[in-house]
Amino acid sequence: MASKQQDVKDLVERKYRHGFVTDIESDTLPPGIDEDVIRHISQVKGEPQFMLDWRLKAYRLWQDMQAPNWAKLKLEPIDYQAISYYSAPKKDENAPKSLDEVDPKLLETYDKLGIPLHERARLAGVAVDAVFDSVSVTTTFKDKLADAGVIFCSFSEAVKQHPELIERYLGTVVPQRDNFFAALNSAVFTDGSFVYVPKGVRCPMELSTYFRINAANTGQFERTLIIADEGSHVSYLEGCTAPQRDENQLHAAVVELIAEKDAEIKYSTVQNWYPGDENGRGGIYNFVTKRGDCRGDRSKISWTQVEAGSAITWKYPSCILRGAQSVGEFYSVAVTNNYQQADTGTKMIHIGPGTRSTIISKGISAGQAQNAYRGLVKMMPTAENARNYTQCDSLLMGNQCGAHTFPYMEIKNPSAIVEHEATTSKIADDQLFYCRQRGLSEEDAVNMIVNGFCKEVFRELPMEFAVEAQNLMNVSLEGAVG
Amino acid sequence: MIIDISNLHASVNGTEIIKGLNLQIGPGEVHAIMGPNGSGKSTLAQTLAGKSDYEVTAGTVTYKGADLLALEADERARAGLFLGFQYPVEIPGVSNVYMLKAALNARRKAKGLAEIDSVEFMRFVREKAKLMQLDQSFLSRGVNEGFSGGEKKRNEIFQMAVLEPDLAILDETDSGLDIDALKVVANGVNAQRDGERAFLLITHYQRLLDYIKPDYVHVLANGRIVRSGTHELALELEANGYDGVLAAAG
Amino acid sequence: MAAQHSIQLPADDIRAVWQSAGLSNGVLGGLRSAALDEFLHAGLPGTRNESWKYTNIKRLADELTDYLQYKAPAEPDGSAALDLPDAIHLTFVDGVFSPERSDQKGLPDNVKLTSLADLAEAEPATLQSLFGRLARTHDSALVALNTAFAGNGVALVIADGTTLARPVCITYRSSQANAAAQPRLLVSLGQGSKATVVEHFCSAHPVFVNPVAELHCAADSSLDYYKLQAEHAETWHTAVQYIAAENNARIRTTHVDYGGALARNELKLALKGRGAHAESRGLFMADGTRHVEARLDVRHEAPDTTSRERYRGILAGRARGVFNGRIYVGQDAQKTAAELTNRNLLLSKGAEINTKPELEIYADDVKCAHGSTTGQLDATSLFYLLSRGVDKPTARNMLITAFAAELLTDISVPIIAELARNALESLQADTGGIRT
Repeated sequence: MASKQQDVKDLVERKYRHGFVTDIESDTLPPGIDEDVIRHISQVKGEPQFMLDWRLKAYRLWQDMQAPNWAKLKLEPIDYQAISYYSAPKKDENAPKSLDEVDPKLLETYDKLGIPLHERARLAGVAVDAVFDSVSVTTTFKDKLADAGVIFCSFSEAVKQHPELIERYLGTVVPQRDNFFAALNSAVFTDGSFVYVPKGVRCPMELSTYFRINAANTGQFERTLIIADEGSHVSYLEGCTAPQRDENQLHAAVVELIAEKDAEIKYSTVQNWYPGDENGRGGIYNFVTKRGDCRGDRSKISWTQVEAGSAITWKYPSCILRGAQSVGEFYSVAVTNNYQQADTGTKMIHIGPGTRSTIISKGISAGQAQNAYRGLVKMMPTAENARNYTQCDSLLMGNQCGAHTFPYMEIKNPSAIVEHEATTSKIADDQLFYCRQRGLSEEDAVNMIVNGFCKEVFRELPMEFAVEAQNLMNVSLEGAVG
Repeated sequence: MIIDISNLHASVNGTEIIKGLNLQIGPGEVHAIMGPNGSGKSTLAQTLAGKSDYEVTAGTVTYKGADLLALEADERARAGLFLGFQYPVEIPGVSNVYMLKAALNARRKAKGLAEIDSVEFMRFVREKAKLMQLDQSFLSRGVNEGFSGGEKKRNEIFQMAVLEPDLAILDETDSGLDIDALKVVANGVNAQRDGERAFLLITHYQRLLDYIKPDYVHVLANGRIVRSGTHELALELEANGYDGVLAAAG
Repeated sequence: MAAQHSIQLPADDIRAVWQSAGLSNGVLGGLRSAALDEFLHAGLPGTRNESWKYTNIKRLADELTDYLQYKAPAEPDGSAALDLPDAIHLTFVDGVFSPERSDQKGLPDNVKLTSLADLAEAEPATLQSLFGRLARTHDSALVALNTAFAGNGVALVIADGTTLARPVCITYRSSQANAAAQPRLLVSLGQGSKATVVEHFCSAHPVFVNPVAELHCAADSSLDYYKLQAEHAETWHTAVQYIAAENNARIRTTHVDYGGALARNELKLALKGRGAHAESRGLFMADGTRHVEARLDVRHEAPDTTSRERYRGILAGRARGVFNGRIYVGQDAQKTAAELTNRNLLLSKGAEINTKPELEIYADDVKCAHGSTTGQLDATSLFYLLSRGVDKPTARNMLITAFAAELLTDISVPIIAELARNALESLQADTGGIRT
C-alpha cells in the first residue's frame, strides 16, 4: 500500500476545475494573513459588504485565539503565516493527457475501489475533454434541481445570487468564535457548496460531489451551508473514496446544516485524503467543524462518515437538538493505519423535549496508528424524556497501535435516558479460523470480518457509496495483516 | 486413499492429546469416531483442519497424496477438506451468503474454475438451503449470528453442501439437536454421499449412526484408536458403555 | 471567573503558615519541604484542567490559607467508630494519628503498625521506601499538598505469608471547625499476605480533608479495602488512594460516599504484575446542593491482568455528581480483560450527573468494555411491583434501595452496607419522597 500511496502522491495532481470560471483565475496571494489579505479575498470574489465585515470579525476573533493543544494528537506546529490564503488554480503542462499516461498502479487502485471511469480521469489529473462528460451531466442535474426549486451551487455563487439566505443563515450554527479553525475558516474561506431546499420539497436526487459544481479545488478552507426548509428532505454526499492528493497540508473546513420543522438532512462523507507515507511523513491535517442545527420540531439530521485518509483527523460532526422530538444520528467508521491519528466523534446537545439521538462509532486501528472516539451527550434541563443510545466499538490490529474511547455524558434532566456501551478487542482467533476453514485467505478473512464489524455504519451510506467504502477499508488496511 | 493418518501426535499448550493415532479413509467411505469426553475427538478434528494452537509433534498426514500438515488452514479448505464445527462461531455483520460466495469462489479458483456468477450462485445456494430446510432469510443473516444451537448445526451442513468437499469432518454435529433436527442434518449428509466424498463423523452417541450408516466405527480413548469395527461396534458401545468396551480393549 | 488551568495561591502566606507549623524537621521534613515547593508552583487545579472539568474548588482556594493555619487538635467530636468488634481500631484527629485513641494491642508479631514519626526515628530507610512509593507529588497538586502538610500518619507493614484476620479500621475524626486534615496512610502487604483495611471518614465539623493512602500489594497477596466517607455537610473532601498489585495479587475495593459539601475520591489502581486482578465498586450519593465525584483510574501494566469495576451514583435535590472511570491498557498488557460499568439515577429535577468512562488501549489482544447508563428506574420492574399492588412511591423506593443494595452484596464489613442504606433512606426523605 505504501508504494501505491507514494504513486498517488507523485501522480495525482488536482488541476481540473468543473467549469465555473471566475475572473480571479490568474490571481495568487503571497503567503501570510492580515486584514488586507482578507479584504483582497472578499474583493476578488466580488462579495457584498456584509461578507467582508463578517470575515474581518472572524479574523479579529481568531487573532485572540490559541491553537488547541490536544492530549492525544501529536503534530508539528503550523505556521499560519506560511500558508497562501488565496491561490487560483493554474494549468500544469506536465499533467497527463490521458489515462494511458497514468501510472498503471494508480489505475489498479482505482479499479480496486470501483471508481467510475470518468472520475478516474479527474482524480488522476488528466486534463482532457473526456472528463467534460461529467460537466454536461452536471448541467442536466442542475436543470432537474432547478425544476424542484432546489438551490445547489458554489458558495461564491450563492453569495452573489442569494445574499439574503447567506446573511440570514451563515454562522448561525458555527459562529466565527466557535473554535480556532472555524474562526480561521470564517476569515479566509474561498469556496464551498450551498444548498437550499424549499418548504415541502423532497430533493429529487442525492447531491453528490461527483456532480458538484465546485468539485476538487475549493482548497483547504471549504465552507458548506445546507438549509432544509420546513418539511423538506435532502441527502448530501461529500468526498470520494479515491485517494485524493492535495498540496495543502492544513484542511480546515466548516459545514453548517440547518433543519427547520419536519425537515431532514442526511449528510454522508467519505474522507480519503493523503495520509502520509508508511513512516508518517507528510499527509493532510484534517481539522473540520461540522454541526447541524435541528431548529424545528420533528426535524432530523443524520451524519454518516467513513474516515480513512489524512495524517490527522480531528472532527466531531454534531447535532443541536433544539426542536421538540428532533432526532440526531451519527454513524462513523474511522480507520487508521501506519502513523495516522484520528480523534473523532460527535456532540449531541439535547435541548428540546422528546429529542432522540443515536451514535454508532466503529474505530479500526492498525500499524502505529492512534484512533480515538471523543463524544459528548448533553441533556439540558429542558430535554424532558430525551433519549440517547451510544455504541462505540474498537478493533485493534497489531500491538503498536492504540484505540481510545472518551465519551462525555452531561445529564441535567431526570427523565432523560442515556445509554453508552463500548468495547475494544482484536479480531477473534476463532472467527479467523472459521473463515479460513471455509477456504478464505487470511487477508480476505480479515477484510470480511472488518467489513462485518462496520456494517451498521455502511448500511447508512447510499448504496453505491457503501460498496466503495467497503473496498476502501480493504485497501486502507493492506499490509496491516500478518 | 483420501486421507492417511499415521502415528499422529498432537499437543495443545504443551499437553499431548493425540498420542499416536492411525486412520485411513478411502473414497466414498463413512467413518465414525466415537469416544468418551476428553478422549481427543475434537482435538483430532481441529488438528486436521489446521488450527494454529494445535501442534503436531510427530507423525504424518497424507491427504489426496500430498502432505496435509504443510498446508495452512485455508489451503486445506480449498483442497476440499471441510470441518463442521462443534461450536460454530458467530461473525456479526458478515452475511452467510457473502461469506459462502467468497469461500466457494476461493475453492473454485483453487480448482482452476472460473468464479461463479451471482445469479447462478444464488440459484445453487437456494437449492441447497431448501435441502436443509433453511429459511431464505437465513442466507442474508450474519454468519451464525443469533442462531439457535440447532440452526448453527444445520448451517454447517448447508455450507458443506455448498462447498462440496472431498472429505468432510463433522465434529459432534449431532450434539444439541432434537430428533427432527437430527433427521434433517442426517438427510443433508446422506444426500451428499456419492461414492467419492468421504466422511469422518465424530460423535459421543451412537444415535446419529442410526441415521447415517457408517462403514467403519472407531473408538478413540486417551488419544489413540483402541478398537475398530463396523456399525455393530457402535451398538455394542450403546449397550455396554465406553467403560465396558475400553475394559475389553485393555 | 474564567476557567483556569490552575488557580494561583498566595504562596508567601502559605509558606509562612507552613513554617510556623513546624513541619520542616526530620526525614519527613525534607519530603514536606520539596512537596511544598511543588504545590506552590502548581497551584490548585482549575476547571480547565481536564481532571477537574466538573469540580470547581475555587472557593476552597480562596480559603486555603485559613484552613492550613496550624490549630492544635482539641478533643475530637463524639462520632463513633464503626461497630466492628473484631477490628483493630485506629484513630486520626484532624489528620494526625492519635495513638492514645488507638488500639494496637494483640497484633501478630509479623504485623508492624507504627506512626510515621516513630518509623522515621527507628527505621528512616523503611519510611523512605514506603512514603511516596506510589503517590508522586507531581501527580497532582493535592498529593503535593498532603505531603507538604502531612501530619503524623500511620504505616502498616504485613510480613510475607501473614494473614491478618482482624480488619484494620481507621477512623478519621475532627476536633474543630476550619481545620485542614492531611492524613497519610501507608500499607505494605508482603508476598502471599492477606488483610482487610477500612478507612472511615466522619468529621463532624466543616473542615478540609485531603487524605492520601498508599497501599502496595506484593505478589500473591490479597487486599480487601473499604472507604466510607460520611462527613459534615460543609466539609471539603479530596481523597486519593494509590493501590499497586504485583503478580497474581487480588484486590477488592469498596467505596461509599455520601457526606461532605464537595467530596471527591480518586482511586488509582495499578496492576503491575502478571495475573493481578482487581474488583472495584463504588456507591456515591448526594442531595441538597452537594457535589460528589468518584474517579477511578485502572492501569493494566502487565499481561493477563483482569479487572471489573462497578460504580453507581444516586443524585437528589440539586446535587451534582461526577464519575470518571478510566481503563488503561499498556502495550505489554496482552490478554487483559477489563469491564467497567457505571449506572446513575437522578431522583429530582435539578440533580445532575456528568459521567465519562474511558478506554485507553495500547495492546491488541484484549477484551475491554465499558458501559454507562443514566436514567429512570427500570419500567418493567416498576410495573411488576405496581401490578402486585404496591403503591408507586413505595415501589420506587424499593427499586432505588435495590439499586444501591445490589452493589453492596458480598461485603465483609456489613455495617458499611447498613450505613449506606440509612443514608439512602434519609436522602429519599430529604427529597420529600421520590419524584413520581
